Amino acid sequence: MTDKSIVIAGGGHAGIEAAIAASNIGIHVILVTMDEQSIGRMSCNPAIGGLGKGHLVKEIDAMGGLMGRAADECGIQFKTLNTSKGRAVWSSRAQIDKKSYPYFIKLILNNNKNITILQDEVVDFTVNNCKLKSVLLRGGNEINTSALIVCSGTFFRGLIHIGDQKYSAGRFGEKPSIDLTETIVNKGFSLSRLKTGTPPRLLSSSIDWSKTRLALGDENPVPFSILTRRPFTPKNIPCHLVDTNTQTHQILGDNLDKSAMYSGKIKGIGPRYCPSIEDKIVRFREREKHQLFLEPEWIGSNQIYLNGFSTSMPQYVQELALKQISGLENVELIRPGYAIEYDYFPTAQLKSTLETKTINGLYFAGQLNGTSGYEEAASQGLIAGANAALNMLGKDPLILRRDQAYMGVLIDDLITKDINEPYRMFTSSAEHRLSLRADNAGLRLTELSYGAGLVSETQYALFSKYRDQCSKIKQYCTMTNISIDGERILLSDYIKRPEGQIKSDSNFSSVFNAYSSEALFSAETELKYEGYVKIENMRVEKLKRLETIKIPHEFDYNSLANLSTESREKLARVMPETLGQAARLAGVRPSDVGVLAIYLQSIN
Amino acid sequence: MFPYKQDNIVALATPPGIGALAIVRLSGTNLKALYRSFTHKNPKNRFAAFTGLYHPVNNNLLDEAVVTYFMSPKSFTGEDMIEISCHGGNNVQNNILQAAIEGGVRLAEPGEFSFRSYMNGKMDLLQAEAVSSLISSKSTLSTEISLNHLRGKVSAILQKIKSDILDVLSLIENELNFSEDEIELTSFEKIKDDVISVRSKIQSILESSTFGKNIFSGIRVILLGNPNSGKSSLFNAVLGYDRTIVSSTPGTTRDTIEAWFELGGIPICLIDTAGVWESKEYLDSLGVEKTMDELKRADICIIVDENNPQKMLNKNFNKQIKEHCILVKSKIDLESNSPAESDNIIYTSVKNNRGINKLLTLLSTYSQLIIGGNNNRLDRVLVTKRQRQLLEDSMLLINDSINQLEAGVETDIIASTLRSFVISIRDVVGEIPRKDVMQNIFNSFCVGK
Repeated sequence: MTDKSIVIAGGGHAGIEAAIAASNIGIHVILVTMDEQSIGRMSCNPAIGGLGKGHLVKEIDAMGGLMGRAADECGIQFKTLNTSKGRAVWSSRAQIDKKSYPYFIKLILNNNKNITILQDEVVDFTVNNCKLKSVLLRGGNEINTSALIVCSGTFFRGLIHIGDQKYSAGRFGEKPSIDLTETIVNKGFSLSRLKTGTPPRLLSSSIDWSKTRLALGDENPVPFSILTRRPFTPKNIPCHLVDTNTQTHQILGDNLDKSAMYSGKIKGIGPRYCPSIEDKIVRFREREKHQLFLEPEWIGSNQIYLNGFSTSMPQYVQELALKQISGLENVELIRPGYAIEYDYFPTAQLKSTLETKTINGLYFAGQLNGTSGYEEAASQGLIAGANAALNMLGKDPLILRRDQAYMGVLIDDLITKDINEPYRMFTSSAEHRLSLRADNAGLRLTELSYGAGLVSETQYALFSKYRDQCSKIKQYCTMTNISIDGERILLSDYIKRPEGQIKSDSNFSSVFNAYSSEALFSAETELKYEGYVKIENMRVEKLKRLETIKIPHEFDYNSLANLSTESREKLARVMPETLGQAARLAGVRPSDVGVLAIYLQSIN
Repeated sequence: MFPYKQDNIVALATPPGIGALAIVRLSGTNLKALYRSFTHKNPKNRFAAFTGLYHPVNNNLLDEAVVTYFMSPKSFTGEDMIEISCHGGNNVQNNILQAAIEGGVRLAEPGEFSFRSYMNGKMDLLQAEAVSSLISSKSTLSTEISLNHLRGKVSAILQKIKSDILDVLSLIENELNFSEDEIELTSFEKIKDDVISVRSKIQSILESSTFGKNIFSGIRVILLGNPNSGKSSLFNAVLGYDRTIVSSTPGTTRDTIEAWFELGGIPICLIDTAGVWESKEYLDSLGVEKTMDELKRADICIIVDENNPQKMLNKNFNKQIKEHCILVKSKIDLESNSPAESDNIIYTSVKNNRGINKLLTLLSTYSQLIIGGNNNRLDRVLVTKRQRQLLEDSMLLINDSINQLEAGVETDIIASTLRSFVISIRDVVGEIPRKDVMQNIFNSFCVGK
């Protein structure tokens, strides 16, 4: 093994995308995992995508990543969410067969000659002159390498709460990873603690399915990946719905003091993050019921994931509360819901390439950065893998801006914001929300990713065809008049109307039949949003001035007399790379940003 | 703009020339040593010491002065400051400045003290602009408005507007973060009500600011009349001192001449013009042109004639005259028998000081009418064109969002419009730094400010 390989610690969703990205660029990857069987395992909910997250999956796909393809391949139900709220926030979600997903992933990895999978454990690494030198494995091997990507997402020093009981553990049934964490801490990195919750898993045969409501996927499902073969005809396995009721709420309410998750404090206007059921009944006191999703974990599974009922009540309270629900009168839990407290590495220690600020060649990606969700982890993996590879080749780093991608927003948020709950991607985090749509992820990212070597020729050819179609459709619409109620108007102007649709005039069906439905949808949406995007851009342009002003590396904030103490401490700790990042830091006063702005402009 | 260096600077803070006292100011990151060499005493924070003042290098006595030391950060600039109240007179001031310079201190650029104050977070942009307008303030009212800004009152109102919309936004954003079946949506009606109430707040600022605009630009009063009708004499009488050359040759006032005075808190600009009519030789054609321009800009027009000012109104220029017009029959002391006064004409004699007070009263009444008398809203007046323009932009955005809510446009777009609004408010209060804006503000300052 040569030091021309990148070592990746962990085969979860971050590790997978890191391996794919680096191998696409042409660098050999050694993926070290404690258990080969756990590669690609979906350890939480059996779904990929969802609000905000669906955007990430589309972006991963546009950049040559694997998650979208795998979801298309293993999805058993596809649905576009939020269709009542405007296309910028439409988001796809797929229910996934948890058994076939890791199988598909492993198949792809095994067939990639640039990827070597090693069943072992990274326990230590050596550093020379602030540069990563080698990686040490539990089995005793030492791998010389200039890049290690840590994606060992399992919950560090996990503490599980079920009611007032506590267990020290990683995820249920898995041993907690301690050694690599300790190594990293010993190298001077700081840790902080987060808490998250999971819902109970129900025994399928204990549910009276006749009393549940059916929830099917879309009739015309849209795949995540451009590489997925059309027409797309995936399975459409129904999910089932049940509702909580006042008795359920009563029982939960009576036992609030026994919940480890329930904070007791309600901050802000509403829930920001998938709240526990106990939080929900308090926050939405006026609601008499909450919808719960019974999601099969795989086809034929006897284990049902109870989405919407994340809790850390004692098991008997969970059972009692659930038994009040129609259809769950005789429910049995395979595993109770629980809350877990765990360590993560605060991401102010990272650069926007996800390389650590103090050790060159050491990258962190995924849950250990305090994020929640497969999609968030995968996105970071892709960025870390790509940058580690590009760096090895001496090429420019791949840094996505906040106006380019949700991935850019995600990473920028991570490295500049303090979090006190696991970071989850929301569309509200993107100031460019109207242009960062799921439908145009390819238009935003594929050309750029192709340039960096991430995207295959096959994908690029498909993309080019789609892009050409989009621009041809748009061109046609801006040159063609149609009659609406006796009035002649440009087709493009008609499309801009709320009710306007590209195919509404059947006279043109012969023209548009030549194009793919995705190209038609993208072109239509581009036309609809053009004007609004322009306004959005003007707004962000104002703020962009801040992004262009770079803050010198290791800038001495003490040299600026009388910055407020709070701002100074924050800036010195986080060491933002640009003025924009400084401005977004919580706790930095606007007037201090002004001071910094003028100072930086005057020294340049 | 000057770079933010942290060297020691000095300037004369009072106007140059002879006065009872003068103030020399110094600012820098550490002035303790300099204080010691100036006073031969140890500095005591915020203490005014009566002391001998010595040259920091050669120890010669410069003056006896009251010297105050302000320790950072509690000073105007946020740095250490020394304020020397010395005896007035060019010689003493210059000696002290010279001594400071020889002691290693640099002479400050205009506005540099305020700039440092801004840089050290002592004031925000609105406050900096207030300092600038305070310096050029021409009247009591405009001074009060500037002081409100300086105390951050206007910033506070704008911050409240911003946080109101942020509340609405977080409601919308929250709903965008959940799918339809997870939560119930807030009705557009409720959101619209909240947005409309913010709009009325902005409206009140903009309305008060039209008033603010007049307060800061003042009321322009133009004197019109035939050559030699006594305009210039009246001009001087209103001002109370000899401002223009008064001569009896027609056309002496070849150009327009203006002077400021304050009437009931409102700054008034009185403009004396060249005669417009009957100057047969048109020697004054340039002056006449200027007069017509001034007429267009004027808020109040005073028509002066020694015989019948009423007749002047019939001239071909009467289309130009504003609604507020005062007719003055001048030089009544020349009339043999005292004329019967009519209600709409003021009879004046500058020589006998007759009718001047009546004229001033009428001017004051008209000025109040024009200003709009909304004096109880002084806390929400914007002082600069920049602020007003940006807030007008904000108003457009809030109107857009209301239209969108009414038209049932989708939530992602409404949220985008409201986000733009928040940014535009941040721009008004200067949370988004702009070099050009900063430059303009601090460049209008004088040395020592």
